[in-house]
Amino acid sequence: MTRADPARVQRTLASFAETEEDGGRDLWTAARRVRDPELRLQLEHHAADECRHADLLRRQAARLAERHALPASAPDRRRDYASARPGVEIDAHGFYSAGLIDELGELEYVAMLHVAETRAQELFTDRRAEAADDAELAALFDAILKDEAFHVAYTRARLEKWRALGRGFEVDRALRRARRGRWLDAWRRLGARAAEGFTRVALLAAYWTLLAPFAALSRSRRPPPGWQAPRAAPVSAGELRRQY
Amino acid sequence: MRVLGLAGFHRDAAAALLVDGAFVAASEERWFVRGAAAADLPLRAARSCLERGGVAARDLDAVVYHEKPLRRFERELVAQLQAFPRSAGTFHRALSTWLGERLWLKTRLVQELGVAPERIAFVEKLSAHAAAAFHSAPFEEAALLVLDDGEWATALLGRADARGVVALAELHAPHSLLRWRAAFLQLLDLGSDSDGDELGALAEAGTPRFESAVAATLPELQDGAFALDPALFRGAFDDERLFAPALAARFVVARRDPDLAASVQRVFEARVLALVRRLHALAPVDALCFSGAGARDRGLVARIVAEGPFARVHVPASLGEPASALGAALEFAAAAAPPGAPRGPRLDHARLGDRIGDAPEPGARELGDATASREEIARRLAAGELVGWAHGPLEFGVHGLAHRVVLADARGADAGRRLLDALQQGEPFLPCRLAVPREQAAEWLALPEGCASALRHGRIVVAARPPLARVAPSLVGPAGRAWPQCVDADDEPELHALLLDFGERTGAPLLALADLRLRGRPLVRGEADAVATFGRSRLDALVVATRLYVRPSAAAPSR
Repeated sequence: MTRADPARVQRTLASFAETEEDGGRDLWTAARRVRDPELRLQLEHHAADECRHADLLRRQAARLAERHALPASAPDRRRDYASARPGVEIDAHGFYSAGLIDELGELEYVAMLHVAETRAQELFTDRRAEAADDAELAALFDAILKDEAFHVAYTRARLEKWRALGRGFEVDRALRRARRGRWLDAWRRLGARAAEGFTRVALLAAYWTLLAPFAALSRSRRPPPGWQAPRAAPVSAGELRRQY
Repeated sequence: MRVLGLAGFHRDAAAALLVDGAFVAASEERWFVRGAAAADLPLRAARSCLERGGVAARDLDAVVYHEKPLRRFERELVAQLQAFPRSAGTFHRALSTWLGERLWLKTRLVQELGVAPERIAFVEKLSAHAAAAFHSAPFEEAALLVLDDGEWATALLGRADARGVVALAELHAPHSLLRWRAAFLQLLDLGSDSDGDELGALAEAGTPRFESAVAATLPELQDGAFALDPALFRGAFDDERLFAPALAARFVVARRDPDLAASVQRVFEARVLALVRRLHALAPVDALCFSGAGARDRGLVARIVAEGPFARVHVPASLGEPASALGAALEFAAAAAPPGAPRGPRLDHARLGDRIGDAPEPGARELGDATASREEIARRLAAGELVGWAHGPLEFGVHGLAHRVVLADARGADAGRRLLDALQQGEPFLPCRLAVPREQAAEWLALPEGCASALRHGRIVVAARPPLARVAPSLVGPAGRAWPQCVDADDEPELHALLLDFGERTGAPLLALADLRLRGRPLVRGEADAVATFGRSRLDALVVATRLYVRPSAAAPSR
């Protein structure tokens, strides 16, 4: 990460901050929905951590911008998440959504959190390793990793508690579902990337061979500027069904 | 007849349900999902509309999409070809989207919504905008001006009366005023999709010293038309600058230069005024309906009202893609209706979204009823607090006008800035709206005649009178203009009553008002969303329906 262009690191940190903040917001919502007071406190603690991470990441992005005199830049999730590390998208907190707990129920929600936080821990560990030559950034990731360890631990403990209450089958099923969802997503992403590569090659080949003559033609037949007669308003259902 | 209008593949994707000539529900996709997922087909929004309208998808008479996809595809393809070979880097991306999704729109709608293929229809986008604008207008006949990004059309001049909407003339891509303005927005580093909001605000602080140089980039032709110089501007390719290096070389100015912004705004207004004059020559009536993304420019609306040949100007509450979802449904219904059928009930508001439910969030304090809630808000505002207020139905395709708003006492030197800062709206030059009771507005503002809807929906800027500049200086821009929302007791009785109550307490019924949403987010939808937004903002209190939320340390204001 530290070897990269500072502007990109800044954008990536800003996008991390947004994801953490989103996660925090949704956890606040979830905390209000759960019935168990202990779980509520844990989710509130977790939510506060995410918001604090967002703040830390944003400040680091601002420091970086100041140090390198970078212009203000919007977080660039699409670019940075997809290409920060080839083949890996940061989806650790990206699939939380407000009200998801209503849809899943407490047990499945916590299972999903556990899988997500385990993934987040792995991801921030990778980022920490990449930031080894930047003490400031390394300290930031150390602080985040400490919290991530707590998030993994409390969700695991909560699942174990349900398991001890005879709900082991439900816990295993929820964990399987959460992991399978991730595996399917990864598979879909892989498929999409492969298809995109193939499409790109095919379209570029068509561009340089088949379309070149049409390009010359389209330039020579550019319509003049000025007022154009509009098409007549549709008068039949058949006309309305046409896509052209 | 039950018609579902859809507008998709845009950040403002939306759906609207028309039943027997009246809209019963409308939703925006971004109320349900975040980021890129919201710029798809508005399927969640569509399902929400059907649920609220109590209509099953199989019972719909038609699902109407707001553009002709093959014509749009043709335009994209031609734009890529005309830029050959510079478009090599973007061609595959543009085509992949079309080949992967947009060309199979009909199949996808059939599969996702479960409607029969013969019930899916397509209308022209700018015609849909025109239909929506006229449907909301208090006129029997009117001239129509639409500035938006259609299939080929970039501006539409039309006329409407009881017999329907007739398009009279169009300008076609690449000659687009919005594209031209977007290029300059990029050059100014304002973001090409900021809808002119930031440009107008920045322009207020500048002098148009580059006006003639800017005008030379968009030569005016006969009869109000204009031509974009292809050597200076580029097509809408992803990740690419809309301006060519030659344009950047002509305007070497600082980032966010207010003088360049003022010059661009002046030329933009001048070109639109030329279109308005041409329209009046083609449709010599006294009323104008102005819609499309171009109508979001409040300074432009002010100039059309002041200098245009039309005595009355209407700007609808809902603009942009959501308006085209409304218009798509209306256009189909009009085509399917027998000749001479009367117009359905006029849609003169935007209150078509979800209502606030009855389930409180933890931490809520029940205030009793609407009157008690209003009094609590007025008390807190008078004590200098910033208060969020969510009640009733969510507004569709518009700012939060009265139902999802944040409020502050307008008096003082920094009222507007404090309010926007509390919502993470960081740009220092952005303006804040001024809410004022309609019947008292003339005391504070130099109100123009013939633009009641624009004043009601906050779609125009007007000159501030000296008392306003003295009492609420933060809501008056450098050019002495304010952005008012004149609140009518019949239209928004709750907000109107709040303004009167606040006026009695402080002597000035003036409130600074902004949308209840954080920067880059949509308006809040439900109570949980409102409370989460409150938690992330720096507001002092939030009232949702009859429930109060405060921060743990916040003390109650003294009575």
